[in-house]
Amino acid sequence: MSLVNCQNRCAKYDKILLGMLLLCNFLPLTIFKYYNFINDTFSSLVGIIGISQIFPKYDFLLPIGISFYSFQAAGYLIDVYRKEIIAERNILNYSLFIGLFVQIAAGPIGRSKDLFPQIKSSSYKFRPYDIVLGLRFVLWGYFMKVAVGDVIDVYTSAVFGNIPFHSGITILVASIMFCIQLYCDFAGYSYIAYGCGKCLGINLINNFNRPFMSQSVTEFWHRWHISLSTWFRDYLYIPLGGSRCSSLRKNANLLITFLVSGLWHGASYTFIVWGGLNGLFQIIEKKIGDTNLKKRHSGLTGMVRCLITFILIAIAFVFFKCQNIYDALLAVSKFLLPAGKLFIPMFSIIIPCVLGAIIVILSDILQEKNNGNFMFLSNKNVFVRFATYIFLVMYILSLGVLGGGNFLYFQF
Amino acid sequence: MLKKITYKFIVLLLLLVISDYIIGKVLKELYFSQKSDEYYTATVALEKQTADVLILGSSRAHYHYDPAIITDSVNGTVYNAGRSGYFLVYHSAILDIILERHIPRVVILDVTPYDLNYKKSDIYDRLSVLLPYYSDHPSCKRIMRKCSFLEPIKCLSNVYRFNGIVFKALGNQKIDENCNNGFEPVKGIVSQPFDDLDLGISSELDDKLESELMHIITQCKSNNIRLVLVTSPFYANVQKTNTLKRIDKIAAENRIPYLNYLNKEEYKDSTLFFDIDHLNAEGAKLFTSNFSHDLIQVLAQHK
Repeated sequence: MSLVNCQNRCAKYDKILLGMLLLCNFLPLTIFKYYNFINDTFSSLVGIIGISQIFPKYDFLLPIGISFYSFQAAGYLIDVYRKEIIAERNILNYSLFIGLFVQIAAGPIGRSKDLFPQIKSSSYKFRPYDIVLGLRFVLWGYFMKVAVGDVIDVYTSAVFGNIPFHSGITILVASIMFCIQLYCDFAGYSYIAYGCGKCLGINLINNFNRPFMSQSVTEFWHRWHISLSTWFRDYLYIPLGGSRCSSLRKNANLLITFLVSGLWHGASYTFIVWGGLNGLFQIIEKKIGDTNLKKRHSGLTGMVRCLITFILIAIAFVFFKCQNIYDALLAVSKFLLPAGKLFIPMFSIIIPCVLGAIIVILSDILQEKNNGNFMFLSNKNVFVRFATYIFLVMYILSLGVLGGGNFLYFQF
Repeated sequence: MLKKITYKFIVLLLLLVISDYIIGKVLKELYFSQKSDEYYTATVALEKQTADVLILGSSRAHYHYDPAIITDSVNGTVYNAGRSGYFLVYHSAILDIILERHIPRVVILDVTPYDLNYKKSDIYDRLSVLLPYYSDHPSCKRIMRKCSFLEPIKCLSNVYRFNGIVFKALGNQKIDENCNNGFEPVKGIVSQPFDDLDLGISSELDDKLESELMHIITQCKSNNIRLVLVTSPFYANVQKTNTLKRIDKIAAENRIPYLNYLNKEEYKDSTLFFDIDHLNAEGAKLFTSNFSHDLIQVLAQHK
């Protein structure tokens, strides 16, 4: 009895300690990223009863990657608490786990169970083939980011920078292009990070798995930003009860998880709405459709499902892109009733946008049919591989935005 | 295994170098075969024109100064090397490149009321537009180092020098009948009302931009070129900015004529403007006539 009591007391203290450590872990993130948002929200609420802004506003410079390494550290704390791993005693190993340069800026969010064995392994072997594989991913990542994502940004920024001016059809096209831009920007970075890790002999999580081949929003979130969605699944959704509860509770858990995910992306109501929409679409899907991830629909049904999923994701991403709710609602209202004349800038801008998007989409389709392997980059024929490398390098040099674009996910 | 990979890597590197050379040559041919638009007018300015009077400036120079009218007044050839979206750093760079092969008698530099204002972004970033001229102009190599110390390494790639030009160059194969020695008249009338315009009354000035202006002045002095600074009209009541005050001072200290056409009554006419900072064809004609008359007097006074 006293042993049970002691174990219960220890478990209680462990829980309190975990809570305190998580609080310390998330405190810098809360201050740097959410202080002004919380302050503005609080001020709006007290403003209703006539009280003006109580706390001052600060213009914090957001430390790069804070959202990513804060979550990585939190995951480690929870894994130790759950006794899934042993607490790391070596400060250098822990520092490397948190500060591994390939993933510190914008993920992928690593797991202690995956990274610590690799970091602590004493049997590292220099494998030249890993460098070849790694450089392939780096090349493809640079192509996606610099030659497609940054090029499309020229068009989407012009449209979303002046939503009232542009027609519905233009907003529709820009929304579609923005989805591809965001994918190329983030997946491009993730491939570069993955490839660099591979060169160093470290296997990181592959963050993207051809998300636009998804046939449901549920499937989309198993293919998009995988490290974040699995983090939320393991450390928020499942602790809330996951799907092992009543239908109402399950839906609430899903919605809460996605609202928090939206908030993770940015301290703004637009991101919360974006997260909420993604949660809502999945709840509706579960009610009306077949979301069995193991079952893929082929032929016309499959294509229609992909298209519907893409449209739903594109609608949600409008909130992701817009600066405020009003712009987002205006854009969505125009998007849903596309009319008017399409804004076509100079063909020297539109052709590289469309060409790049087509190459990426076709590559994903071929990769999907090829069990996840690159059709050309990983082709058995050395001439095909070399021709692909040369094509990608020359494309990046001639058409890529080489003057220093922005990684969209660096802002998180 | 390592030997095989190394061998393949060397073969790939060789193929990349050869591809870069061949594709670079094709892109160079494409770039220099253009017959219209900004790349073409820049090439003419840098490599072909031998005008007595050279006009430098942004879009305000490009749309405002009609060489045909100035030619009649000064009795010499005129070339308008104004370029939309490019300011002091660019003008300083192209003057260096032009002076390698030709020395004009007069340089007219159109300065804006915000030319010396401090900018958060990298002021040398836009010089990458001169990369196509890298291999043929020694001063271009020196200029490119201002962009980044890595630029000379990047320029080892022939394709990199022609980054972003492909589709634009393909569309510029027809001669632009409208273009007259770099000048492009625009049609249209401004819809905004005439109002006050603050272009940075209290803006901090950038030392680097000032040094680029001084470089232009020094180059002109050392090559015996008559430099004239001009601020062409706006369709607005422009407050005197820190840039304008500084330019006044620099012009006085260096005994350079400075013609300021801001806030003049005759330009408070909407039919002369395409938008608040650009004259249309009608406005350009009027302005160039007035300017030519003033230019002759100024050149006679400042001998």
